Amino acid sequence: MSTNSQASTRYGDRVIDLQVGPCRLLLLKTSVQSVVSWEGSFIAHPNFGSDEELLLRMTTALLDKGTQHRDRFVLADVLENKGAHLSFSAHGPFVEFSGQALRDDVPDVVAVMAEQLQAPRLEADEFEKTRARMMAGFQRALDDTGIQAGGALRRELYPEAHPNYSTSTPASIKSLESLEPESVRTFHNSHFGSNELILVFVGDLDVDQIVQAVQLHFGGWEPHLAQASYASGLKMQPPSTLEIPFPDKANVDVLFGHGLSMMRQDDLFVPLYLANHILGGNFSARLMATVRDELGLTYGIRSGLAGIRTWHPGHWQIKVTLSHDRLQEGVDATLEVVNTYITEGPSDTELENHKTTVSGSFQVGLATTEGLAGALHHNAQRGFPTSYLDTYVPEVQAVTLLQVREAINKHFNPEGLHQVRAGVLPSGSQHRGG
Amino acid sequence: MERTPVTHPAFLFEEQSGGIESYRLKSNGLRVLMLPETTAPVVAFMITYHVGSRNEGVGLTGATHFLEHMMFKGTARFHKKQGTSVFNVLQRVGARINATTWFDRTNYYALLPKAHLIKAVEIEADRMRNVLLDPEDLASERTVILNEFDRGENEPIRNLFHAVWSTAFVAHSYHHPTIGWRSDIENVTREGLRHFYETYYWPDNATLSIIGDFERNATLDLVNQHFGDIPAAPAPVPEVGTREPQQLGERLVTVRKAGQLGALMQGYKSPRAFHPDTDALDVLAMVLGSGKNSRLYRKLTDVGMTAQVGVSVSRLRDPGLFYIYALLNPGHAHETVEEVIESVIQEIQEQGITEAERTRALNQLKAQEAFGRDGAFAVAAQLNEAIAAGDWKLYTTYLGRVQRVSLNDIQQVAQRYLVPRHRTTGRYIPEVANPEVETT
Repeated sequence: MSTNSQASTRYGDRVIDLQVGPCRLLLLKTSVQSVVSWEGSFIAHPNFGSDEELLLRMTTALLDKGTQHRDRFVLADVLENKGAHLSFSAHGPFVEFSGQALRDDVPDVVAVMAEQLQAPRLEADEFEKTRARMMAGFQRALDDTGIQAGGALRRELYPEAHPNYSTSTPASIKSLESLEPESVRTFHNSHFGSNELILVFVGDLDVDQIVQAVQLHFGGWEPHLAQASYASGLKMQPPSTLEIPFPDKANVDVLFGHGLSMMRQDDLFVPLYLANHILGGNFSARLMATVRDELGLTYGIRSGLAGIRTWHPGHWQIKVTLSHDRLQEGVDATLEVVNTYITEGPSDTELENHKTTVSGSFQVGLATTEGLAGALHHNAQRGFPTSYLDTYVPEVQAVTLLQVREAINKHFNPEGLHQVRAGVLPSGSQHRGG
Repeated sequence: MERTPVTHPAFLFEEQSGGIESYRLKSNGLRVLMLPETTAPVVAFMITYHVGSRNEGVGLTGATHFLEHMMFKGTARFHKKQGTSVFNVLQRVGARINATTWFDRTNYYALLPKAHLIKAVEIEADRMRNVLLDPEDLASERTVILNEFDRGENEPIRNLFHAVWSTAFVAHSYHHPTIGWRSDIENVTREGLRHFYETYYWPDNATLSIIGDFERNATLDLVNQHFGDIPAAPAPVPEVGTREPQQLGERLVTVRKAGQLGALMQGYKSPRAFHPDTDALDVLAMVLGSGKNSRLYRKLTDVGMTAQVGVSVSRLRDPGLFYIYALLNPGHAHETVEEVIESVIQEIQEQGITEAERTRALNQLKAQEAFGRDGAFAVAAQLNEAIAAGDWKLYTTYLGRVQRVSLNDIQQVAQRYLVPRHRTTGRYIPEVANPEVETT
């Protein structure tokens, strides 16, 4: 347990870091009145590249549909009568949960959360209703140019067993049709447990009350026996151009991207993050300044590092939305900005400006209990010390132009960019080579 | 929660409520709302202009939104040619900035480290009267907005929302989508925008909100230093005189586009933001659509007819809509979902709601109010809507207002407003065409 010094402003000093049974519990008291926000996760280890990723999503979606002790409406009534929020989601190998409640209601809400995670009812009729809802979600996804373009790019970059791979929507629909209620129960038994369990509470905390609640409701939760099963490598293949025609979608979502042989803990991560930020991280970055502000070709253009974790690499992507009648003009302008940037690299001034931007944004992002809980949780999930929230800004400030150029040269390759277009496409364009 | 007001020679203290103090700049009538809050070393700085698509006429629809975009193209002092564009100056210090336009208002905001508050004040004061509206900028921004328009057209729910509002309102300017009609975006002139700017962008037609970690006296100094010399509007801001005629029968609008699944939206005419019945309608909306125990969730989503159902009341300056929307699951017809909604409403009209339902709704609102004070930006966003509706104290007094709503009030507003003759139903009907992926 670290010391809790009220005088210090350093998160490394202020965060109470405890092991409560199987749970790593992080607590940060702030001066907000009455409100407590929390985030947490455990690792489920689905077998990526099989139906287990879908099973994880289905099981997670069924958590709030009743437990072995209380039906779904009774549980909902507990939360709704307190105005509390509780949600569950599947992210990669993790089941993540988050909540918000008034200070005195936290123990009761933690009890509901623990019950839903550990003893869900997983009834056949709720399974069928959830399946119908997920099916509707997939059908809506079929209608979404952004989702279809993003999924197609990920299928080009990753093998099926990589956590960042995105199963096509028709394939997901087929898998969903074949799921059985029993398979969800089996999956819960074998993949839900206290493995790498983290809980982070931030706000107007009663520390003793929360420690007791976590001990009572999570202290006896056993770990599951599933092992990690995923591919961490990237798919290495020549760049392609994919075109997904949509009638009636006048806006075309265009994505460019390639894989990155980098993980979050690599020394060049922060220099590469800054390199990307200068290109397309915000409104004043090069892509927005040129393709939107100067040329008026798009409402939105961004570039980003995506899906990079401490346990597997991710990819670099550039996303631009273009009206179909300016499509080629927008694509050409985007690539020209990218090529020029990669060839010339950033200027000293650009680097200094974006270092300040990234540092300031980090500070602003920690201005709410939800923002703090999220930052502390993901930091812990990465295995970084709590003090990383204090050292991140100095690390950003210390990055040199030389490091940024090295990161660009090593990791960004415009000639290796895959391209996906989804929307109304010019007649005959579907067969153009890429 | 009350503080002793600051005495400042340039400002008149007006009142305080819920920890927020209101001051008026004597020289030009600019209102300044301040809420000191030291939870984090950041400040939210927001200016809300009392102009939105409500103030637009045919031919100039979308002008408010277009002008919002042009405000980021800058002034002689804050301009990209000098490397001092609004985004450059503010994002360089880590500010989260943007602007939004809606029916009754336009707001520009920055959430930034407290040491840089001065930058945001300087920029807002400068662009209040000195925006350039350069023809080249206007030409490039027009195509940006057209792309934004196309993006919106890609979304089924946005299509449905526009269809319902433009069918429900035939005379009042809530008829127009805030982004404007495409031909107006294509054709609006520099002169048209300039006229709009000259009419509405004045200190006495705006409210500043400052929330977060700042010192009150020094901040009033700062505001006075940068806004104090701007004159008040030379002429009164024009009132919107058009009133929507009473709706005399149910209206139905259908949107058919390529897509996968249907959606439904029903809008009932509802009173303005400050009408007491709007408070009761807010509670009714929660009983109908908030949470798994809400009546529509249990009758529609829980039984698998819809993927999602929601109910909301538009708290606007003029009468608006109480609306219900539903995303349909495969195999369920619009008409069937509409029948269920109708039966749920009828039940409330005939038997009212239970005390347990009222209590649950009020508890949710109470918690929401507390959560809404977590962070300067969250407060600014809610305050913005209250300012737009006509009185910022709607934010601070909201909980008290809804707590006074009785079971009888709720039954009465259900009977008074949720009637078929005042309803506009919008059906989004997809025409299936599966996308095909081709690789080259």
